[in-house]
Amino acid sequence: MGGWTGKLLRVNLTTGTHAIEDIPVAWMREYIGGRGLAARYLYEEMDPTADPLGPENKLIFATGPLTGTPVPCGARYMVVTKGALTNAITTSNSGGHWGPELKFAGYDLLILEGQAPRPSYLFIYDDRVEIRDAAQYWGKGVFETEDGLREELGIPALRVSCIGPAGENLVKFACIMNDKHRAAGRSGVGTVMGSKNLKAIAVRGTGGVDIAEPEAFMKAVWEMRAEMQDNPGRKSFTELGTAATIDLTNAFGGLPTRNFQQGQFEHAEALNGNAVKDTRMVSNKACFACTIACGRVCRLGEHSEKYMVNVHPRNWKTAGEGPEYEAAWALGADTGVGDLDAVLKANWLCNDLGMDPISMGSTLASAMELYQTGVIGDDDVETPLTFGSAEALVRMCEATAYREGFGTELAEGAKRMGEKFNRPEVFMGSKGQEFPAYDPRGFQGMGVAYATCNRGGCHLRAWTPGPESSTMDPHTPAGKSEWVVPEQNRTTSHDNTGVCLFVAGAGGPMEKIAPCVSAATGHPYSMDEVLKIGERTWNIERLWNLRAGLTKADDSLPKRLLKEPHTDGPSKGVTVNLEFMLPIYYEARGWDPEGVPSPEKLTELGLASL
Amino acid sequence: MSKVLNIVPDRCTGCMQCELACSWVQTGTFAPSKSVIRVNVFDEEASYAPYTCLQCDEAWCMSACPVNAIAIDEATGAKVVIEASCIGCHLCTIACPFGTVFTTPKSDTATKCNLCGGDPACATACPTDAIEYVEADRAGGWFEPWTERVNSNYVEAATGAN
Amino acid sequence: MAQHHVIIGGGPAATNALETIRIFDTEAKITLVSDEPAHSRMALPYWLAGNIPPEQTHTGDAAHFQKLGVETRFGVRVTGIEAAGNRVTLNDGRSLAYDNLLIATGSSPLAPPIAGTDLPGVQPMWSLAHTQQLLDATSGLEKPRVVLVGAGFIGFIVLNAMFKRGWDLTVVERESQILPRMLDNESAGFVGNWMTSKGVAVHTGTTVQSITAADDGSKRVHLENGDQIAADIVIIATGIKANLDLVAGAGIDADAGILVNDQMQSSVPNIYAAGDVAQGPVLFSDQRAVHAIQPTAVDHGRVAGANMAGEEIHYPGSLLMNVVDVCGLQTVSYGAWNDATAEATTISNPTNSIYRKLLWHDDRLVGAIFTGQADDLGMLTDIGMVKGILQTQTKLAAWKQFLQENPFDIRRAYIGAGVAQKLVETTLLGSATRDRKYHFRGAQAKATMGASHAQFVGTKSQP
Repeated sequence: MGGWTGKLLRVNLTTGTHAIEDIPVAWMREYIGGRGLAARYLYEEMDPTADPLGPENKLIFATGPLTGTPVPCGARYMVVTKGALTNAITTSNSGGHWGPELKFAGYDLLILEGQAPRPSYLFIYDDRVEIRDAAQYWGKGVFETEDGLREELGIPALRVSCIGPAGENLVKFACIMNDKHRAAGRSGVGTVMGSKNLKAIAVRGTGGVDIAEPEAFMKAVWEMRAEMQDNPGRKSFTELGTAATIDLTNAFGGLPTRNFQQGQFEHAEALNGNAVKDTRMVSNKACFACTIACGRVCRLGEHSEKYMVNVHPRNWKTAGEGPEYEAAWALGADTGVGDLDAVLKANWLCNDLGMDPISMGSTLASAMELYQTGVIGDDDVETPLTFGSAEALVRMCEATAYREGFGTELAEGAKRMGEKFNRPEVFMGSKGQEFPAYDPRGFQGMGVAYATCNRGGCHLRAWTPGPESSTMDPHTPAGKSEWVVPEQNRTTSHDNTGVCLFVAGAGGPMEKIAPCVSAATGHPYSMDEVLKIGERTWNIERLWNLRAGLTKADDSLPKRLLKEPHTDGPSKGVTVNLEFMLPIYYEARGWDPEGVPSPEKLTELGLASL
Repeated sequence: MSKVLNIVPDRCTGCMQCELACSWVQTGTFAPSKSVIRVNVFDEEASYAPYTCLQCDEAWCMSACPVNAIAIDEATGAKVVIEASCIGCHLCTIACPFGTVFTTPKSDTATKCNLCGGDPACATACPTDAIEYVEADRAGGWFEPWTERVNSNYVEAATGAN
Repeated sequence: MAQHHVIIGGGPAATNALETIRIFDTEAKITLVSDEPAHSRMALPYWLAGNIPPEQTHTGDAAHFQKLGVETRFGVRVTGIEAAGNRVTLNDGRSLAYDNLLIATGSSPLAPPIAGTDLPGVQPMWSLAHTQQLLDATSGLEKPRVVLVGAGFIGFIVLNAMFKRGWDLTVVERESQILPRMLDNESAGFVGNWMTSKGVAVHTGTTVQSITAADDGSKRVHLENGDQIAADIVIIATGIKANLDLVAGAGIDADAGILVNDQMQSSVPNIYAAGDVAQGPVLFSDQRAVHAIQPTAVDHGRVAGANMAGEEIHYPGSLLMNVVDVCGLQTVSYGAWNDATAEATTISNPTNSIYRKLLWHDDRLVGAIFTGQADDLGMLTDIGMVKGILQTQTKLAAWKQFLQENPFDIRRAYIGAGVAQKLVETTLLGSATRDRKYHFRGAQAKATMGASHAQFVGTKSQP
């Protein structure tokens, strides 16, 4: 057997005990690994109605069989848990080097249970596992924590995932950061980690990943690499990063602006891929095994001292990594800020403080709308929350992480904040999670993709702007659900492999990855089986959510998207016709009209016993 | 003139494909901790570069060996460890001023870059041509510009100078 | 040009010297006189450990010396040097005239004034003969009980060999710490604790008063503090001294060793000295010192050989460096690690037995100590790079503060301060070092690539 290590590490933070367990071979085959395998465990072991911030919630870190191999972008790990932001199952994905290191230490999965009695961190050095005191890191930023752990443990090659002050302070959209700039970003997985009093997981692994059929495996890898080398999507990611997408979405009136009040941003060109590359980027940077290198290592411009807050002297001009597309949008267009340095600074703060820039930007945009409409006034906030205010952007990132002043409200996310101020309509998201950077009025299919995503508003399960900007009419609801369902299955099985989703748009679709999985594990996966595994995973997540108390009513969109069209631009006059798309979606899924998987479907997927 | 590994730091993205390749060739498993090419990741200076034995002229490792277990592969000019001769004394490791010769307890013999006998897997694996296997008098010509970049970026950041 | 080079000694200094002479001079006559076969002492403990056969400690055989055109007189000892007459006398009654003489007679273990050191089973562990003697004495014993008297660097390499054999080990060191000439007190404490955790008994700050024989043939080691330790074998490793017997009366200046200049010449210009017997130049110091270590012996031998062959090669000086794998814990020290006047940066992690000490004069690194588990290639890279920084005497400027703040990020300072580029062009003899040609059992220096190489490289689709 290869690809998988076949082992999981289970750590109970309450009792301080740990165990190394064998993973059932049948489960590895049925789910490939990663997201699916972790969902299977979560389904088996946890009461979905439990408090996400209580000790009953489990926090699972899952690699895939290709994590830690030379398959392009085989860097990923998934964090699977009950999301603090969403109260639904979440599956938050990150690259960098930490996931491979966990694999090299000998584990496909790490399951964390309980709650540490005091601030602690977990140290894993192959089969040596220790829960150690983290008092000296509590309150510290991500960068300082990582450097400190490396020095304390004396292992230069140590890899660290950790939370920042935002996770400690239970900001609802706190991330788990790894390798300083990489994030398992969404749904408040860092909040869950914070609730467990766990500051960091420091890993050193000296083992390796075996391969069942090396020759076939390497042939599949080289073929995938060759394909990607010449692929225009790959070239664009390498040259311009993900922020190149700004031009596309803005052109279609699908770049949400000022909390989705507009669909185009007048300063889009100040934030796009070319702007970053030409004016701020020092180098591009890859995650482990990545042949794309979409990461941007950036520096701030000369005039940006005014945004210098909370900065380590050594990093005084380094903005760190980013912004990638989502952060550039959330911290930029959505808040109306067209100052690239402010966006870079805010992004740097989100990384160091450990917060999801999408939810941060979107929640701030919601607050800016409250301020714009007079719901909150200057007495409520320490700095005017005017759309376009760079100062407000940078300041409120800090205030949110530390829950200072109005930051306390922002720290709850836009849904809870909107409800508190009796204006729930300012929340632009679903299942409690703020949307990313695509306005479904510009790309109709995103509407059904957002509404049905198991972890709430998310663009990574079915990215419709691709086909909708090329082969489909972006404004008609027809045909969208039929495209979204198989695409969700496809991306889900992709997530299970441990390979970055971006390769799919860069010449490395599942058709190229499946042969790598087969050769690595020695289990032959046909494309049919791969897609079935994606569907199986999607359905088990759905079952989990239904047991957690979610219903059809949660497969919804904000009123603004359903009723309020843009008044100008390419998407002028369009609203999202979810009413049309959702029944078709349910039917395509083999679910009943209430969105419940039918017994036949469950039997077909081998889930009848659940 | 023989071939050397030439490194082009500006092309490196820090992806570790070279470490994966090297460890696979040595151990038949993907275990970067066993790689003898090590990627330097200098985030603050935004500079990345793989680093391995230059097959340097002085060959400190070869001189330090008490039992002549490091010698020159005439096909490539590489200084290679003769495993059957190596006693595992670690002297080559502490004598190499580049930090590119290793002795680990598990193997108990020295290990270092041997240029894969003239077909270095790291160069094959590199997706950005940051590692080239090319004709040259001597390896290491890339150090000066790389040093310049790392040094100026650091000094600038440390002192606040522009 | 000298017509006849006579070399006394069979260790690394001697063999490197004669091989180097041959690089520059293919004509001159070379005679090697050595009472032991050409071998490296550094390798003996690995024979003791059972890892290698005794022949693997050898550094040349008859065919090798014949190919080099070297006449060998093995098993013969030089009994005297007539410097004025350019002649050495041998214990077989003959004598040899020379144009250039190299004294590479090495060093010998000190015999401490302890009652009972003459008992059978009480011995040093320094030569081929000692090793054979120890193996013979322990061959019938299932788990020999060994007491090591003296916890120095050399003793520890022997100790590690015996540890690998699973023997029952006790160390007695009269100083307050183990490895007093290699580690500072704190790092020695880590090593001591590590050894204790591996089952080695460690006694420091006490001396052996006497060794007595018990009725069953075993020994009792009596310590000053009253303890008694039962042993089958007692190894005396309390220090070494340069073999200066030949020097007395020959008009050659000596202190702790034969004083040599940076061309390895003694006070008698055509008499050279190299290795443990020589007291030579030291990097970043005006003092000359005996560095009884393998790398210095090789450097000395090569520099002496080149100068004897008529080249003018100046030795920049030796860098003290010691490495011991102590039951799995890697321990290294360099240079002026013990310099009390130096500024020190220390990182200490008792939990993981990790210790790093960097010693500074202004912005120059002058010494270092490392302990840590050696399965981490990152640590080994750092160790080598610190050696490079020391050896090049690089002024680190702003990078000093960086290293003080980030002692686990040596690589960045190493590159940033430009150490590597200096080293690229450095050679000891002004040209690329040659292969020494003699390899155990005629092994070829050839990278042999296994199936995994073909699996990786051979499967790549050609563009």
